Amino acid sequence: MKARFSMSALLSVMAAAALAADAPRPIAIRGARIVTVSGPVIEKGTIVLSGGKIVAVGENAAIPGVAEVIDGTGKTVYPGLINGLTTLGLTEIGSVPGSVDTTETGDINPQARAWLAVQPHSDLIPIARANGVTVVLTAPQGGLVSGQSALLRLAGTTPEALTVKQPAAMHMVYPTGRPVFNLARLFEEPELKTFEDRVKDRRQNQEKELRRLGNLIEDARALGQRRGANVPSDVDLAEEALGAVARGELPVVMRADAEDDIRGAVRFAGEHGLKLIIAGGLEAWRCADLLKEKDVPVLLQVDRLPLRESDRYDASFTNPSALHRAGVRFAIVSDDAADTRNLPYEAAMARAYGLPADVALRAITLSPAEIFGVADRLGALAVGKDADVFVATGDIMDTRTQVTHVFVDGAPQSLETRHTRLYREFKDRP
Amino acid sequence: MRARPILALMMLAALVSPRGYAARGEVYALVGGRVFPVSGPPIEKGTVVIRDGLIEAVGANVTVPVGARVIDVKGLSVTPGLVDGFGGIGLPAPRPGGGGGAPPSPAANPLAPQALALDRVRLADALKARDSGITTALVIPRDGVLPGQSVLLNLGGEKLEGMVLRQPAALHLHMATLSRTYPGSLMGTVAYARQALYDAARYRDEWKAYETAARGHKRPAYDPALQAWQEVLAGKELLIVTATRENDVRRALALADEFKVRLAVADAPQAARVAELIKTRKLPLLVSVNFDPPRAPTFGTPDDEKERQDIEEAERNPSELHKAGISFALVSAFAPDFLAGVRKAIERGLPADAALRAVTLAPAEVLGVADRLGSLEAGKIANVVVWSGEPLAKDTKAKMVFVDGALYEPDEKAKPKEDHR
Amino acid sequence: MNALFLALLALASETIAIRGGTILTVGPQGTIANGTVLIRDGRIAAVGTDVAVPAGARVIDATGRYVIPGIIDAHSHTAIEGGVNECTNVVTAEVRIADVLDQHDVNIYRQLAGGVTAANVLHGSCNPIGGQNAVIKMRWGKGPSDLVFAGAPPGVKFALGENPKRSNFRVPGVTRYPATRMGVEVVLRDSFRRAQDYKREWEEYDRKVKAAGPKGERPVAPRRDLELDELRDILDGKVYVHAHCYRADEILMLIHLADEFGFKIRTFQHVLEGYKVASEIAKHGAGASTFADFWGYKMEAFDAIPYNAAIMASHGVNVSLNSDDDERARRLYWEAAKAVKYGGVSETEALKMVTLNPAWQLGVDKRVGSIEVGKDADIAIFSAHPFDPATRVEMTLVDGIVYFDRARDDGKATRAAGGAR
Repeated sequence: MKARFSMSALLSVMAAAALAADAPRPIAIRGARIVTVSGPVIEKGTIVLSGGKIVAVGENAAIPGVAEVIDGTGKTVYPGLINGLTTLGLTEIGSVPGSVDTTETGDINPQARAWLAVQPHSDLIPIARANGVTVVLTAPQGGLVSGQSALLRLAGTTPEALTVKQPAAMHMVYPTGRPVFNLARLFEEPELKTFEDRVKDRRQNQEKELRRLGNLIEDARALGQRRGANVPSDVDLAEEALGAVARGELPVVMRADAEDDIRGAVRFAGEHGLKLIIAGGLEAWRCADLLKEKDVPVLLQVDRLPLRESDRYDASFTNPSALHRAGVRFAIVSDDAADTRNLPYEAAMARAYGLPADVALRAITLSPAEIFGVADRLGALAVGKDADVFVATGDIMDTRTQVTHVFVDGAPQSLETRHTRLYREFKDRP
Repeated sequence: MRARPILALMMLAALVSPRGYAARGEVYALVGGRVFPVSGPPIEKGTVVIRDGLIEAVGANVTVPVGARVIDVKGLSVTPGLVDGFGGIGLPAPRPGGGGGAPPSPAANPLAPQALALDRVRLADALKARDSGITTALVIPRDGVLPGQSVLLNLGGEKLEGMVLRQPAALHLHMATLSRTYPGSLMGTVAYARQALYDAARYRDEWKAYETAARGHKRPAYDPALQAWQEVLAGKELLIVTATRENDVRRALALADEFKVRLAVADAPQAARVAELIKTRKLPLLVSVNFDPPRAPTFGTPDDEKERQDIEEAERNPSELHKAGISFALVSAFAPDFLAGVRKAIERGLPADAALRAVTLAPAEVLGVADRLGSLEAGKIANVVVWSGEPLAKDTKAKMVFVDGALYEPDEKAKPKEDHR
Repeated sequence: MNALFLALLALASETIAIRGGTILTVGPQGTIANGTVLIRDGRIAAVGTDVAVPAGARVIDATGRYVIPGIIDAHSHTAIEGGVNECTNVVTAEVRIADVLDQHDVNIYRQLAGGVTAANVLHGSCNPIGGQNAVIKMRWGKGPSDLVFAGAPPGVKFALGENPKRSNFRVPGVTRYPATRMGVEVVLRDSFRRAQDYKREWEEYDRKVKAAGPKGERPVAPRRDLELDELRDILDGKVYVHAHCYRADEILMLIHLADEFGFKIRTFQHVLEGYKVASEIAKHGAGASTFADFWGYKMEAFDAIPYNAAIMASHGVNVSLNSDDDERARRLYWEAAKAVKYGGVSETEALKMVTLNPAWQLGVDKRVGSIEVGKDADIAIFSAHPFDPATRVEMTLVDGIVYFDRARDDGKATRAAGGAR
């Protein structure tokens, strides 16, 4: 009988076994409160994940026989949280240069592509994931044109495996005209200038930088046209990278906080035909009508101090609800790496200061998905979407809630992190 | 005849001497102008008689002495010479700083109470200020924490020594910080000053003990800095603390209380906030008209709105102090244009007569020379200015400036703005 | 007694009854549902369910609300002007935060709006031995000396690890010692040896003076050194030590050094690896003031875990959660909730970490930190449980005066005098 086993048969059996081993087993979470985000809350229902997708969700969704069933009694199921602006994967320890890849030399780096420099084994990734964050936008920082960002899922052993969408956007900083702070400056002889002179300098610097930026974009547009008409031109990676921006194909995330700078950014985008998203947006509430009129979405970090001394003390907390009332699209983001896990509590703060609870949750799920054009796949619990799901013991915006399960692309994720390991190692040390 | 050679010599002297040299015995009578004595109400058609460097008489019905050079000042106004009670007139302009390059000239020691501003004054530079009607200036470097001791100068004459009204005028402490050496923080500056004063007191006790019984005891070391503090410690020399912020005034008072020193505060753009305290303590004030001084950039979120408000508050400060009934001097505090600053203060509500007093008699009072300077009164030093119009008004120029009774006529073509920050 | 004083006295003596809320006393009375807190003369006069409200008392309706002791931030740099750090020297125990308190820092108000009533305002972490702290109450609108929490024991800031050894920034042209953790220890050891010498010197002097008698020749006193005064007071147990530290080994180093010289560390600050040596910290008797979950920004912060507070607390360490940041200071109640999430600290214990525990660490637990009869009426009223995601601070009282009232906040508090309403 053993002689009958052919090599090919053996190989196909092995292949089948391997395939089966790679594909996550279907999962069903039963009897849980399901917050779909895109539809009404299902008070007690079932969600089924299979083949990396959500295949069923509802009060009486059918559970396939082979599925692993998780009892969701007393628990809440959410779509994986999406953090719309981070440096996750590009930085490990901020003060250790060897571990930081967020900011390239020079002001103009449109050809720098974040997803090629991401560290998939960053200790920070499991930590964010363990609190329900499953997708982040990772972006370079600094200069005038920082580079290109990508949407990453927080599971995978290679940058390719992590990448959900690249490029997601081109990142720029609206020039404020002010000198950039660095620690060494504190110990130099300061340059003494009157306020009037500093205001003048600032304006001049700003105009100069805006002209520079504008020229870059127009040169890129012209290059694109030459390419399109097959006119030979020299290679310029930077210009090429900006071409998609000039044509409005790739959105621009522009960092601007002061009202004048936000207005300036909107004007600049209008002049050059850019598809604009504002990051920072600390004073976005002061020009909400303009942002609504031009349909410019904003990536807001909530736990920031107000810009002006004369601002109401809660100006940054009420910023999201002000934008919401004006009909401006926005996402709530953490804008860092190590604190990515605290995303739901930022949304909670916005909620405490006037943002409706469902809008607060949407701001960290479906809204960022829409802003970056992946709402067909992510940000809500609906049939056909990617199976990015997590289970919690209650309201995820409540700090006391624990996350019990996380799934990315339908694959269960370990909740073990550097932190839980150290906790176990030392909690009972005598 | 013996008179002839003397006459010839005198004529020769008149020919070759630079304009403005006053021979001894020169008598002037300024007649028919609007006279502002400051110590009393204005005199519509008054006469001021100057003799031998002093004011001889002021009034509506003063007899012009025989042999006086009569100057018709009808339609013009006459005031005491302006006193800039705190500034850098005559000192080399401080570097704007920054850039990290090599300093252009040997920088002054920032912690040297023994340094004398007089040693650094450049005569030609000092005299330029006179063209705007400033006849007296307290001079001290802007930078540093303990820049040394200031000198009070009359801005006229051939030699610096002859210009000295008081030397030293005061010992100065700037509530400021240094970039690379201690003190690098404001709390450091306070601690530095306190330690210096404790050390100065001990130095005094050490030397006193030694002078009392030298034999058998080791000689204490000489320390020029600690020596420099002695007159302040004894309450004989004025300590002027430069206060940039509201709380600097409190810090200055705390220091004065701890060491029982005689105190005046300079700059003080937020002094109106502590008007009650200033009144209660009768704190002499030298209030700055340098409303937007060159400053280091602050890091952190820039709040332009707040900075503008701070400047506006500083501009209204003199007017608010006046409303609170406080007497104070107005000083340039290194502003490039002292008079423009004074005019701004008037624009923001300080009555013109209060402003005039603030730049004449008031600084004289603060600096302890009010018995000899600061108003048009018989016996006082003949520092007098004849103005083309209303004193301190925008287009008014100084037409004639008397310093120690010598007449100077400002150059019409000369720039009114001086570069002595 | 003038009218203003009497008016202020009356205002301060306002009798207030906070009625109908859930009181989280953090004291022996635990949680009181539907309770009343009676405030008289700035103190808590009664707490319970059947407290009689005197006629004429102001009644604050707290129905549906939560009433907690005012939050205390044990690590703050709010309200400092002129620099948080005296970075130029390595040991700067002579500088005092109390000299540079900035009563106009709007962050005082913003923190009141986050339920904070007191803060430990510290010197920065530039030096192994920094300056003297100031414990303040958030009395928005009062002058700088009125912010000081009278009676709070004095303290000095120490710093270990990367910051004092300048791992993460270099000042061009400056060579500084220490550059390693070894050097940090040397600086500390050397400082306390000098302090011992100083102590001996003064004890010797006191003996000589005593021996000389009232009429004998007084020797000249030793030099009074403001820095060594503080270090000697640390040796004598009169001044607390608040030590910024991260790594477990440096925590142990400091414990051994303190034991060797015979003084106690009052608190380890940040102490992010405290969980690795929790027993040793407990045995020494120090408190630990740490972050809830801020981590990862430096090498020495990379082993930080959000379970730090829970582990240290379970080993008997008095743990508080602090901000070290104006932004975080507004939401310390949110930070406290993290102790529940990470390590299962009970809600009461977690609340203690921002109230009674920091009060003990600062030596003011007899006065504040819980709602108990006799303590200062420092209270925060929340719209829901402080850990509830939708909660907001509605009102904050310090010494029984309402300094923050969300319903009446007109957005102009920043420039207004603030104060009693």
